[in-house]
Amino acid sequence: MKAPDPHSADPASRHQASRRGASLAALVVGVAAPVAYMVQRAFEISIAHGATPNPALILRSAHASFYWRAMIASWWAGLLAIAAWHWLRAQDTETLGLVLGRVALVLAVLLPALALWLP
Amino acid sequence: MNTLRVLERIHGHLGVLGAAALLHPTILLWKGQPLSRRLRIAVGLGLLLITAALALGLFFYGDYRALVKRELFTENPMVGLLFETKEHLSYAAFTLAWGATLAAFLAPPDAPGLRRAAARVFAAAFVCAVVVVVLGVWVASTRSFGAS
Repeated sequence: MKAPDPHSADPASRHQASRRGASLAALVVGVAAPVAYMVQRAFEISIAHGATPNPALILRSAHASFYWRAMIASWWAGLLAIAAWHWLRAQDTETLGLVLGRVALVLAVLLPALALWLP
Repeated sequence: MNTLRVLERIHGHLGVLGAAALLHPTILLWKGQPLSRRLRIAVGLGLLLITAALALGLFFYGDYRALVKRELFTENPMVGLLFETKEHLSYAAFTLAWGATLAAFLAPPDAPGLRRAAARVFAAAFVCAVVVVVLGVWVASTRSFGAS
């Protein structure tokens, strides 16, 4: 189904398009943030050449890496959400949303597996 | 029982309730029906509980690191690493739940596809939250505040 035109002269149509775009952007945040987080974690592990994390280092760290990782992932998710709202709200948001929903179902399996693999 | 131990218990209970509360909107939104008042409460409750659990966990993390984490790694390094895994997945569950909740609230009434998508994102948040709860129980049963 074609979404309402966000540049329409009709305020109701613009409002509908804006809400659809915002809803799609929220889905993008939900999906992109954990993916960005896991990509960073995988990158950190790749720098350590796949070594098992050293408990001594974990105990000495003040948790800053977790906060940085979470903030950077949230920043990427926000950026992608803005891009989605700007460029995709005029598209078929229903279909795009369902694609994101399917991606989320894949993530439901992938994220726990990755998190257990990359502690 | 000291205050930190009480807070840890509350954190755990909020996590369990939050995980359970995420299943409710998953089922209710699966077919994309518009949000009724009760459905809005169900959707908001899951997010509220998950956010409260995460916030409380972050609140006493400093004390946990100082008083428990070293003993946890000493007693069982594998469980110590599972605590790290729990953190990764709690962020995932938190962001998935936020995204799904906002998507469900923002979707206009004539956009069932967006609510169906939100239901699937809620399902992913639920799975991550359940794994977090299982790992949390495992970690807490190994070492917690005030345990000798």
